[in-house]
Amino acid sequence: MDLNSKQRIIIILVFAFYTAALLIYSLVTRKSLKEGKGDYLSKFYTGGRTGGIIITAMMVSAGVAGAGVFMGVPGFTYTYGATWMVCCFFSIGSNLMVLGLLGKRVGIVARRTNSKTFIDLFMNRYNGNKIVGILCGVSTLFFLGGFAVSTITGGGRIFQILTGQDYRIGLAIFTALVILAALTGGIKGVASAMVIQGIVMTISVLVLFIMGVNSTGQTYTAVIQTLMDTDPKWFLPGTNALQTTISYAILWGVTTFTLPHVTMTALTYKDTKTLHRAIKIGTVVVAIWLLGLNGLCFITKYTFAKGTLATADLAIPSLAVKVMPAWAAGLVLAGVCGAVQSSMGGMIVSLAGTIVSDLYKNIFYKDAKPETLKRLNTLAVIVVSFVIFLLASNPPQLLAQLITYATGGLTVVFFHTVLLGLFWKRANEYGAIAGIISGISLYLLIDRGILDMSLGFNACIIAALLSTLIAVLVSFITPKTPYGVIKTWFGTA
Amino acid sequence: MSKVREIKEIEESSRDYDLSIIETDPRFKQTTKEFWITLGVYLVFAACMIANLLLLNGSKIQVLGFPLWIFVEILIIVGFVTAVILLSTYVYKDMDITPEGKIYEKQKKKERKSKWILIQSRE
Repeated sequence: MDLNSKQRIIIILVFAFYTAALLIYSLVTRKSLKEGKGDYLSKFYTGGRTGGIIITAMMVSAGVAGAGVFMGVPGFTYTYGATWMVCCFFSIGSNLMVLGLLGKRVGIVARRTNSKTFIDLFMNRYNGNKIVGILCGVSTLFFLGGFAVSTITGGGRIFQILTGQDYRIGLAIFTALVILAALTGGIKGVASAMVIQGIVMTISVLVLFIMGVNSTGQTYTAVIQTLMDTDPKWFLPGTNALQTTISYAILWGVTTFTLPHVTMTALTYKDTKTLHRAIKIGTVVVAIWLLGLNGLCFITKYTFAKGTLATADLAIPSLAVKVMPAWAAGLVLAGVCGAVQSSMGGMIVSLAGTIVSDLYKNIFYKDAKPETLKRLNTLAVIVVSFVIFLLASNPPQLLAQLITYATGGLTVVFFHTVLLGLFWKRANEYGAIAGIISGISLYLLIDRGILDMSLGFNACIIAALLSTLIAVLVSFITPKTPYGVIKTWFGTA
Repeated sequence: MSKVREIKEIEESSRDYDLSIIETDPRFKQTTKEFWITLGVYLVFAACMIANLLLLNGSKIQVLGFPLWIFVEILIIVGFVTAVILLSTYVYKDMDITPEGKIYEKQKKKERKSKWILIQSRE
């Protein structure tokens, strides 16, 4: 990308201003861990269950919109055309699919069981079974960890392109900001930062859209018309479009609730009024982001002829550099970094919770002292962040595979565990274990083509459906979950 | 009476019981209802998006300068956002989410009005 040193300095200055604002904000909101009810861990992971409207909306919206929304999907749309554009729009339903679908139910049972994390909650539902806890915990560490590495890697690449600095400097800045937000305010600190990041993302998308359209010297519809004349195939649905769109309608819409860093929002909101308003605001915000970024795909396709981009992922940042003044490109960089950091923040709190609360406390040391847990939690946040930083700095071969399976892996593990656990009294721990093990196995076998039964859909869709069926069958032939658990989860208190 | 006694006699750890004796919390009945409505709304949205891509794509008709299918796509998205707002405002019920909470009953307009008139007349 052609950038002179003056442009780079302005971009770095705008980014530095954004970073400083976030740092100051993290320090100002550091008291949030001292406020609210409950012990340290409860406040750290649930924010004392006092999350407000904007925080609740942003935790889901910014949690879903990582580097993929700014880079991956626009890149796929640039390359493969209209089908992917439609797929991307399914994320508009993310707030509805997490907060609307199961927000209240999770809110009630989390308060009844005093659960601090997503896995803590479902371990309770499955009779405190340690195998369920270990399977869910280890799967989260692997798949969500892989997801976190891919997210931060995307942000680091954009940082390098726009500032000309080493990729690892970008990674280090992201990591430091996330650690600071998490350690000073727990989930509330991360969520508060998400509000600023969300605002910056929204402004940058709007500015980029307006400037992008202006740069063509034509009306928006004239650009589309020109593209239709020059590249009509780009607009037509590709081969296998039906299966692809159905797969992503499920993966990026319905199964958003299987992402632990997003669904933990349901453990943190204050009351149902907050929840309802958050659904409305969150849906509108995500719609603005997606309409803006997808709408820009016509502009990127028009501006950059085939073969002129180093990789299609760089369509949006390349457009920012080409058509915008340096200050505005800096704003876009801040917007992308906001997207990366907000997703990362939620993931790191979720991963630390898996290690400290779900695995250490619930599985191995039930009587661990609060002080020990507090120290361990701080250590877990730092170590998890550092490991993600190291893996992103020098990705091992195995990691590429792990990243490929990240979201699909979380889907096959949590789809039946969450849905059956919440809505079906007969679901038990035996079914959950069978479902998780068969889900992961089927996913890998179908994806690698060893079992030829994908029917053209994404492998994890068939695997999730079959593993749910297995979980139901096993639950039916094994004993019911103890009465006390079912009464807590379904009965009057 | 006998059912109450039967419920009391079941131990918390017992796996031998009839699921139907558990009296479902009205809030869970409501959330189950909301679950199906929410899923239905999303599935209709997804079906419209996919059908539009596959059926209207390729048409030469233009609306406001947009190809028909892109115009309809935008309409579907606006329709979905509107549906979410209506759902959150009129279909989802407010409830107390504490362990023993209840569903908040919406005060009827008439009741509110009569209360307001009563307060005004006292003043």
